[in-house]
Amino acid sequence: VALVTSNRAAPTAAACAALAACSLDLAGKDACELASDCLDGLVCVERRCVAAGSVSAVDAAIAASGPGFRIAEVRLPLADHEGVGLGLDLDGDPARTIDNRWHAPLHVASDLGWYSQGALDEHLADGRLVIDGELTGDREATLRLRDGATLLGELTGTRRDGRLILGPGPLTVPLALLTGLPSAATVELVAARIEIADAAAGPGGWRDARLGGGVRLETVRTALPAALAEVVHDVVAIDCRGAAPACCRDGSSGQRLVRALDRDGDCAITAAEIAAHPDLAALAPDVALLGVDCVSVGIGVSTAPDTAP
Amino acid sequence: MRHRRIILMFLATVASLPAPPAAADAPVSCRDAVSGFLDDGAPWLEVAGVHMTSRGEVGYAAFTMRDGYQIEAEPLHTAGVPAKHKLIATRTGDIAFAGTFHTVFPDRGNGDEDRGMFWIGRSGAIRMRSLTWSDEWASLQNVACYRGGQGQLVVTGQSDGGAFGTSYWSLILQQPATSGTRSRRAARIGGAP
Repeated sequence: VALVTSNRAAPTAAACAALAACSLDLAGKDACELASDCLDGLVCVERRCVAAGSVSAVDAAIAASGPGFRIAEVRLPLADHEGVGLGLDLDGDPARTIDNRWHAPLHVASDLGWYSQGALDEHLADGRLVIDGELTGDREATLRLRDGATLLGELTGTRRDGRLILGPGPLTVPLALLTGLPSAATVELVAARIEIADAAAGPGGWRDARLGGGVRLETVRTALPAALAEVVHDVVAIDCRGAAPACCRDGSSGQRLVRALDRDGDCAITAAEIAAHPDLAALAPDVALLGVDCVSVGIGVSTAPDTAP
Repeated sequence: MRHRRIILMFLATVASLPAPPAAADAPVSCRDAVSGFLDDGAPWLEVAGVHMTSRGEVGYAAFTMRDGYQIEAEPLHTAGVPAKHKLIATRTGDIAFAGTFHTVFPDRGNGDEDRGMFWIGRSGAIRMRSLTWSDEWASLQNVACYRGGQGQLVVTGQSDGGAFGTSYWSLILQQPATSGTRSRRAARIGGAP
């Protein structure tokens, strides 16, 4: 049974009276806050009175997204053990293994002093990175993601096992969304999926969603070093103004980077030198999606209503 | 009568004294302060830090030093050490300052310094990571910022180390005396703030 109310607006008593799954006893309130605000047998979900057990939180998530939403928080798998919690079974293997190797490229960035999660938090908080979209439908839902006016992709899906599973489908996302790097580059996610957990509805948006897909190895090996090189270049330009080889200020980030990466000793670090990072060079595809060997990606996503006009 | 006059003079003198700085300075917005450093084009920040930890029967104070400092190689009283009392947090793009450091535990044996990473973002969020012990970042909680007398930014906060106890931090951040060339860079990510 789908949530019977329309987007965002609290259901009226008249509307509820005509539908078995919805009724109100709000005593003049615009929306419920507690189950006690609702008639017997109803619970308060996302400020709406709905029949207990008849409506999943996924329904509420769709309604709460209103349908417009923006991505408000992203959790990146910075450590190996975080990959499982944020990943999806992308290739549908019999063992249903979670596929998520994205911590490996992020580890390379971290080794270079780039704190992906912190940077991404900053970008999302101050509106430099705005990913918005709509989640519409009922039993069959459609999710669209946009970066400004650019449509990143559209995924459709249905409810399965109490979850809303969208995709697989093509999705192109900003590299910044996956790394926090200040780059305009985009990355194509092969066989992208979004899974919204049944208990995902939160105040004003849906939470505990996971976005996954595959990134071609070649893309990781070219786009990531190129974006990192820009950041590293700025740091080295600040910290390393002397003459080679002892060109950097003692104890500075630039000195650490030059010592680790500057193979030709010119006190500058190129994308090629970053691409030679042992962990990046050792990175191998871990999933085959639609016949494409990929590095698996999984990140956590939470949304908020899109209040932009 | 004479005593009364002395008391009144004393009270008048006390009343005219400036309030102690700790009481006089109101907290400032950490976001505004860090954004200000970034927007001013500060190439790096110099940071002095100390933290105190107490749990069970264990208690200690420790302080940060420039990355690479080893107390066994350069005891605190020796020449050259004063230049290493502040860690360097270099700007990364226009969203944060980050740098590595060593923490000295004065009550421990030689070679027992920890290496860590410091990160402060435009929003004022502060994160630290122990490169010696873990790969994970920890956010400083209950962060408060104050202005120092010479333009410094004084930051206090706490980090919860679980069973290792809670550490209370005090940090003083300041721009270098000569900032050099400005390295402000426009954000390349789409979307207007």
